[in-house]
Amino acid sequence: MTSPVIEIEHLVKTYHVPEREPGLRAALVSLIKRKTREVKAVHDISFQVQPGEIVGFLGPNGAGKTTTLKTLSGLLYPTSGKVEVLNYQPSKRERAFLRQITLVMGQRNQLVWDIPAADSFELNRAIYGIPETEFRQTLQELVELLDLGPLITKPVRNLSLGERMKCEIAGALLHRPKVLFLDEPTIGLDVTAQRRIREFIREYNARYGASVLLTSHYMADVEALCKRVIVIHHGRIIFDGQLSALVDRFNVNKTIIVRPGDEPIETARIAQYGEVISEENGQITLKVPRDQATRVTTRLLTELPITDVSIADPPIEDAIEQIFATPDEAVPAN
Amino acid sequence: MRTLWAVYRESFRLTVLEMSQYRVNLAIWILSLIAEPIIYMTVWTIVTQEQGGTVGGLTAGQFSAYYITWMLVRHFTVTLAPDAIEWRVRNGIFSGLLLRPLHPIHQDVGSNLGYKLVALPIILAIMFGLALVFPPTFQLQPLTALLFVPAVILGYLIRFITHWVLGLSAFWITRTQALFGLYFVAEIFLTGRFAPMSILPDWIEAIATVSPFRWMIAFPVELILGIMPADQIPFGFLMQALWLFVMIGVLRVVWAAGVRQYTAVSG
Repeated sequence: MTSPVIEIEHLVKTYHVPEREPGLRAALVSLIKRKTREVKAVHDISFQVQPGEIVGFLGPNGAGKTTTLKTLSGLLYPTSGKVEVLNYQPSKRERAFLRQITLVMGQRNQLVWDIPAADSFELNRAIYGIPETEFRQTLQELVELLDLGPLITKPVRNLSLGERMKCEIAGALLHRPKVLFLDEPTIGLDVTAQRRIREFIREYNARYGASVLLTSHYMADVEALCKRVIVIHHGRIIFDGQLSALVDRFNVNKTIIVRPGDEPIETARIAQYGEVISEENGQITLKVPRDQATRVTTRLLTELPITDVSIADPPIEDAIEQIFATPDEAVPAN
Repeated sequence: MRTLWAVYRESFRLTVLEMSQYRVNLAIWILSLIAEPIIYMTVWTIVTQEQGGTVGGLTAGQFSAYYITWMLVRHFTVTLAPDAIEWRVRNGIFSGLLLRPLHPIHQDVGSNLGYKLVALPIILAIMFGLALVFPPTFQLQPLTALLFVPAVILGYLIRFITHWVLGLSAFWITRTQALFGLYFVAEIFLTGRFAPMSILPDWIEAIATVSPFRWMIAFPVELILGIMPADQIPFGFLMQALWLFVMIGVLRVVWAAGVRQYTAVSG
């Protein structure tokens, strides 16, 4: 059995955040005595990532995703617990470790603004000590995979957000890292650019066997790339498993799509069977509790003049929303 | 070592490319540098005339030579401003730099040398222009002219590292401007910027001599102009070597502690 690429055991990360009451008096008091509050960003989490895996790391804002990614890449020192990436302790920031990882944070600009990305790439080549031939080959592959073409010879300031993000990703991967930490890599991009980056991540993973830990608020990213997801909420892992299992586990509803026959059905009448979500293109979509889906479908078929009915899982967003809306204590631990 | 050399070369090249994008901005910024020596030269020329031709043994021509040389040395010892480092800390830019398998100071030195190269022809032209308006009295010696080169390099390294360390204070202090302000007031007096060391009160000169400031800028200027007695030159180099050694040590300690602080609280 191969050893995991990422291994976290009982990781805790606590911040000490300065705290002050509003007003002049409190401001003067704080000059002499600073008050701080302890914030547990990550609370006793454990998981492993195997070589070549793409894992979605999901959670609402402030859940602890970025803290975990920063800890894994050596930017944050863990308060307690064991963290290992490629058998290195990230917080030691050893050069051999840094040469094998990358952290891409959406909208964080590492490229020099006023000159073409190709020139910034040359600096990366020097910093990572990439041999000339290998550098040219990797760059050519990245240009092809990300469809960068003429973009890398234009000053970065003249690129659109999506084009810049693609160049940022290329720059972050020139040293062919074995582990990729991607923090919202598609944030703010249009649908086409998002799809392109998604395809690229999949291709990079397949070509180089790299492991990827990805956070994203776009479920399309997760659905397209990750078989496995880890869900973190209030600093605790509340789910770690197959994406399909996540839906099964947390989706308390099903959607029933009803196509009426020639005779129209009033909305009020069909609303007796479940919550009407939409009515478009001649079909009505209902949301019903999962355990009642079969019974409701049978009733619909027997009691109403309909030609077709189908049952489906609601979008994955609904499952995630459901989890995040659930109070902490009510969420079952994985 | 090969990696380091390649990083210096690439950082140098990038800065030259970047600066060439903003020629007007560069020209305006460099012209702003003229104001300071012109003020000093005008003031000291008037004072020497009123004092009967010399102040502290220096003539108007020697003051002119001092500030023209000072301008060149200042250019060679210009560093990355501490504010730039503070800005990186506050805006999280350091995160990207910490992910790279190389100390970020190397990239900064390379960039800074690139800036010096681009701006040097303009600085030389300004020096030539100032020499026409304020005729200097130079008494250059071949040996001191030769020693001027290592003195400037050592002065640059001391100043660069000191400013870098100062910028790293942002790891602990949120608003660093007060600290930087205090530092630059000390620099104005103790680097021989406001006036040559020889005409400042003895106690200021004594403080400057034991501090790193004198050895950053004043020493190379005094050396090439022959203001510094020949028997004190070895002491000057010794002090430069000592302060460079000390500042490298301070940098290592502050950097390690700063990164620990950064990785403990923000990232």
